[in-house]
This record gives sequence, C-alpha cells and structure tokens, in this order.
Amino acid sequence: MSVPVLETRDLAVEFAGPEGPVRVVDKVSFTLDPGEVLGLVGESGSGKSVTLLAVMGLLPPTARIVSGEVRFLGQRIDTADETALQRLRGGDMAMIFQDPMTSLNPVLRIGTQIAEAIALHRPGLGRRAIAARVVELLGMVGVPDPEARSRQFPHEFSGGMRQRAMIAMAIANEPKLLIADEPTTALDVTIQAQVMEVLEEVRARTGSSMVLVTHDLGLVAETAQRIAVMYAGRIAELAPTEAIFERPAHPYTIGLLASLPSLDATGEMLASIPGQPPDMRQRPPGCAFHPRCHLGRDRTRCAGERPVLAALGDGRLAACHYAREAEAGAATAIPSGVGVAG
Amino acid sequence: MSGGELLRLEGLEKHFILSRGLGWSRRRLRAVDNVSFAIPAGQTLGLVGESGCGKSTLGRVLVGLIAPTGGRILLDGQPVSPARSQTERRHIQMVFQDPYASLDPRMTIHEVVAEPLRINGGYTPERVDALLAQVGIAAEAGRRLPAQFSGGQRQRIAIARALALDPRILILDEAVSALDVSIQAQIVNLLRELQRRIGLTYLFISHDLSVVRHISQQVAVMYLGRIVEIGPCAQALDSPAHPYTQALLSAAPDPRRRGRRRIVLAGDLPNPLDPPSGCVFRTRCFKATERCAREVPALAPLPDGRQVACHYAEAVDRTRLAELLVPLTRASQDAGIPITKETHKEDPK
Ligand SMILES: Nc1ncnc2c1ncn2[C@@H]1O[C@H](COP(=O)(O)OP(=O)(O)OP(=O)(O)O)[C@@H](O)[C@H]1O
Ligand SMILES: Nc1ncnc2c1ncn2[C@@H]1O[C@H](COP(=O)(O)OP(=O)(O)OP(=O)(O)O)[C@@H](O)[C@H]1O
Ligand code: SF4
Ligand SMILES: [Mg+2]
Ligand SMILES: [Mg+2]
Repeated sequence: MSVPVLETRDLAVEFAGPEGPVRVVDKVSFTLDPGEVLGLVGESGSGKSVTLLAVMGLLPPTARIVSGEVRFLGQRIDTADETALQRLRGGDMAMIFQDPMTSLNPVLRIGTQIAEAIALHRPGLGRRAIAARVVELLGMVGVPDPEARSRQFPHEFSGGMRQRAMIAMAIANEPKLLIADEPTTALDVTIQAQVMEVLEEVRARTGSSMVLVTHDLGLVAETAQRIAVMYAGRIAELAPTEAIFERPAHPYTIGLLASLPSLDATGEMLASIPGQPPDMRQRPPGCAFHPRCHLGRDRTRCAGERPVLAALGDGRLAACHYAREAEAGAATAIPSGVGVAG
Repeated sequence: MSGGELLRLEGLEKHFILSRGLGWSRRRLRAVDNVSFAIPAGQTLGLVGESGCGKSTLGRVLVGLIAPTGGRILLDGQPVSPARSQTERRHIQMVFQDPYASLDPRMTIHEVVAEPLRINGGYTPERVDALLAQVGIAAEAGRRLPAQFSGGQRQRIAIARALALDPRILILDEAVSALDVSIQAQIVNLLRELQRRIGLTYLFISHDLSVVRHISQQVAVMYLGRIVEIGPCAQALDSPAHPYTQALLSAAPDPRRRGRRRIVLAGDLPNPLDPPSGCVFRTRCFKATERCAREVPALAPLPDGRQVACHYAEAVDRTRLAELLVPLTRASQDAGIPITKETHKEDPK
C-alpha cells in the first residue's frame, strides 16, 4: 500500500469553555489514499469543520489539539511550526470553503489574487507565465472569457462564478490534498451541479485527493469513494460509499438514511430519529448516540461503555456494540421503521 | 374538509420599481409575474425554484406583508381586500426559514406563542399550553427563552405561534431547509399530522424537490418570477415536461440514484433587471431555438392537464432524463465541445 495522503489518529480537539474544556472532536481516526475522495457527513455541530481546521493547523486560539496525531504524506504536521504549515497551505494542501468571500479579498481583482497564490509557492515563475497560468486556470474551471474576467473584482462575479474562482485558486499549485468544507451549500442545485462537475474534472486531471465535508448525503454519494459519518465529535461509521448506502451498520447511519425524503417514496410518514443531537458539554456516557438509538436505548452496555470504531470486513468500520444486529435490521428500517417521532 | 378550493391567485404580480442612483432612469423588477393557481382546502402546493426566482415575494404578498402590484387573491371564492380585514389576516399565516431569527430572543416561549392571542383576543394560559402540546413541546418548557432550544424545537415553536389564530392556510417559506435531515423529518411529519388533524392548507416553499414530493399534492416550478410548470407531483415531478424542471430534477443529488448522468445547465441565472427576451429560460436551456428568443411561451395545458410554459414541452420520465443528453452530447462532440462548458447554448441542434 502506498503512503496515505492524509492520516489522523485518535485526533481530539477541545475548546476552552467557562465550565472547563469542551471536547468537540473525540478520537477521530481516518486515512485518505492518493486520488481518493473521502466524504465527511454528519449533523450540524458534529465536529466536521473543527476536524478539518485541526488538520490544516487553523484552529482558533481558544481551541487546541489535546491528543492524537495528523500526518500528511507520512509526515507529522500537527507538531509542525507555522512556517512549515504556511508553505503547505495553498501549495500541496488547499482549501475550498462554503463562503468564497471568506477567502477572496473584495478589494483585489480576481486575477491578482490567483497570481499571488501562484507566486507565493513558485517564486521562480515570471510575471508573464503567471498571468498566462491565471487565464488558463480560470478557463479550466469554466469561467467564460477568462482574460477579461480575471480583471474583475469578486463582487462582479455571481455566487457560482466566485466558487469557481476559489476552486481555480485552490488548484493553482496542483495540490495533493484538497479540503472542501461545504463547497456548494450556498449554491442552487443547477449551479452546484456545474461546480461539482468542474471540481471532478480538475481532480481527474491533477490526481488530487479530497476530503469533502457536507451535510448533503446525495452529494457525497455521487462524489466520494468512502464516507465517514460523524456524530457528537466522533466517527460513528466509515465505509465505502456503496456499503454506507446498501449495508449501513451503525444505527445512526441507518436512522439518517431512513429520514431522507425521496422522490420515489411518497404519501407515508418519514422515518425520523427521535430526540435531538446532544450538547457537546454533556455528551451522553458510553455510546453518545444511545439515548436516541432504537437498539441501545435500554441496553446497559451502550450507556456504560464507549464503542470503538471496529472493522466489520470489506473496509467497513462501525462504532457500535451491536453493529451486526443493526446491519441485519437495516433492511427493514429503511425506508420506514426507525422510531417514527412526532 | 378537503375538496373545495380554498385559495386562488389570478394573474398575481409584484413588480419592484428600482430607481438607479440620482438619475431619472427607473427599472422594473418583475419579482412575481402573472402568477395564477389554486389550492384545494386541506391540500399542499409545493413551490420550487432557484434563489431569487420570487418564491418568498409571492409568500409575502399572500400573507399581506407587501401589496401586490396587480392581480387578485381569492379566499373561499371571495377577493381579499387590499387593506386586509383582521379575519383575512388571521386566515393566512407564515412560517419562515430561520428558526433563530424569527423568534424574539427576550420573550419566553409561552409569550412568543401568546402574543398573537393577546393582540387579537382569546388569550388563556391553557390555550397556549395546548398549542405547544400540539407541536410536541411540553407546557413547562414555556418558561424558557428561545436560545435554550435547538433549531428543530424553535421551528416547532414558530409553527405553534402561526397556529395560534386558527389560520386556514400556512405559508411555509423554507421552513425545514435549515434543519438537519433527521430533524427535518420530524417537522415534515408534524406538518402532515397537523394537516390531517385540523385540515390545514399549505403553500410549501422549498428548493428541495424530495421534501416537496413528500408533502405536496401539486407542485409549481418558478423561474424568474413566472410559473414554468404546474401540476400534480405525479406528473410534474415524475415526468417533467419543462426543460427547467427536467434540469432541476436531474441536477439534484440523490443517494438513491448514484452514478447516473445528469443534465448540467450552462451559464448563470440571468439578471432579473434585464431578463432575456422571449422565454426567460432560453439562455440556459438545452432545447432553445430562435423561436424561444422571439416568442414568450404561454403557460398552456398538456393533454394530461398539467400546465407548461415551453414551446417544446414534452413529458419525459424522471428515470430517463439522462437520455435527453444523448443528442446533445453527440452535437457537442461533433463540434469538439465539452458538454459541461458554457458553449452548448449557442448551438442547439
Ligand atoms: N470557535 C468556537 N468556540 C467554541 N466552540 C466552537 C467553536 N467552533 C465550533 N465550536 C463547537 O464545536 C463543535 C463542532 O463544530 P463544527 O463547526 O466542527 O461542526 P460542523 O460539523 O462543521 O457543523 P456544521 O454542519 O454546522 O458546519 C460544535 O459543538 C460547536 O459549537
Ligand atoms: N423589497 C425588494 N425590493 C427590490 N427587489 C426585491 C425586493 N424583495 C425581493 N426583491 C427581488 O425580487 C426577486 C425575488 O426575490 P425573492 O426573495 O422572492 O426570491 P426567492 O425565490 O425567495 O429566493 P431565495 O430562494 O433566495 O429565498 C429577487 O431578484 C430579489 O432581489
Ligand atoms: S452502541 Fe448501542 S447505543 Fe450506540 S449505536 Fe450501537 S446499539 Fe446504539
Ligand atoms: Mg461546518
Ligand atoms: Mg426566499
């Protein structure tokens, strides 16, 4: 096996809180192979963004990595100094965020910003070559008339166009790792389809690996080879995309899939997971999902002992004491059956 | 309770007049343009379309927050007066997308729900408790502030408040869009249960076609202020006939249809201040011809009864939408053009 592009092992992150530290990422382990897309899904607040910020060394000052490690192409980067990280970011490791305005400078021309990103990592390149590369990149992501467009400012671009410009900037130095946090959430579906298409084309050309964070199960289903489902700061299940949808083994994944409305199933009540996701300051003991779980609600083991992310074969991993039982029951739980809540 | 028509819109329009800078030039933005439809009592009409197409504006006109610039609204066959009577106002209520912004953070939950009753009369603590119970919130929770509730619970509270005055119609403007799927399912189920129990009628605004399919009998698809397709879900969503409906259905990611090919529309949404001539969709349409630039297509019925505004309307089964791409791909391959780029709109064969 080749060295993974990215690997986290038992990564844990805490925020400082008035009543002591709050652990929002709790022993997260995953690997990303060369050329692979790993989808990271989970409800709002489940720790997806914080996991990625920790990977990139961009945690806010109130947060810190309390244990575990992060490796990029085999090298530890959680302990690397800021200079080394800066060289990585925008070079071999690039990011795409939900809101392009957070990464685009409103007072600089689009072309200038992309040129800066290139110059920073390739100091030897002349101005002419950089300018040509900027136009090439904008053309690559489907910005029409890239030459003229490169002289415009971000506000002169539509939302979808800005997202393309940000992708152009992210791929400027042919990164080995793309980290995309909800890259199309703010866009309409038809524009989202355009942007995802562009991203896939570009990835096919550069061979970059990608971690794609989204709460849209449909989007990861179509893009990722493997999917990690997060719940309350932990990975509940990690498996090849087909397996997540065909043979889910964690009760939370099963509940999520069951609650998903479909264009085909109509007229019935949707299945739904009862209750609310937990507050990270009061994460339930044992399995964090047990109060809402149709299997674990009344089982003492689920309330007392934290399940580890364990292998089920075929590259499937689930953190559930009763994964086999869950898997066997999944067929009847989807599309209906998982505790219909009022 | 269901059957009779409860709400009817006739040629409803809302145009915003925008003055540009200090000059005299004024421009007309047709946010809602000649919209007509009817919703039977106890049923749901889903309203879908991309950002800025006029969904919220239509909702705001219906609920009386802004005045229409043309057309009529009829409730139970009676025209709603421009200056709404108190009864007319209480009959149509609205629930918004953002459960964080729509509740006053300083009021307890009990007060939030009590407010419309205090203003219109009929407040009793028991009535408020019953309203909260109806949406699955315990009466004791009424003492707490909105900040202490999660997004899904706040949306329940917003629904309880909207129900306080016994409305007949709820306009739900992206009411479940901000919620996580498992919570969204809880709220969708609650809405359906309420509809069954008290015969409510809904206008359900959303950009999620699957959710719309679950809750609506009919669906209206809007583009740049106009309805481009409207009819029963079983027609418009299962065998869409307008190219825009076809593209929306094809573009929406669906984990149950992985690996399929999809129609990727060219270009951006047009500027609403400077809409294309003829058919407003033509600049992004994969079927457009010269005729589309000249003639505005009228919203006209197909043999099955649903209405479509397209010169080349043709119902295509949802599972076979990708086949629409085949001739298109061939044409663009012949011309050496990659299909997903801005190019294929220039030359529809
Ligand atoms: N700056 C911060 N200070 C304190 N807590 C934070 C901060 N940022 C995030 N958190 C907490 O960390 C947890 C994980 O947040 P994170 O942003 O990673 O969630 P997410 O999965 O990305 O959610 P979403 O889908 O809403 O983006 C949440 O409980 C959140 O409240
Ligand atoms: N008060 C106003 N003055 C001028 N233009 C307005 C006003 N309100 C809305 N518009 C314009 O009317 C059009 C329709 O807006 P509307 O908010 O109804 O869209 P929408 O379909 O609800 O979009 P979204 O999905 O983003 O909520 C947009 O072009 C918008 O900019
Ligand atoms: S460990 Fe127990 S509570 Fe947790 S998901 Fe599995 S069965 Fe449910
Ligand atoms: Mg996030
Ligand atoms: Mg709106």
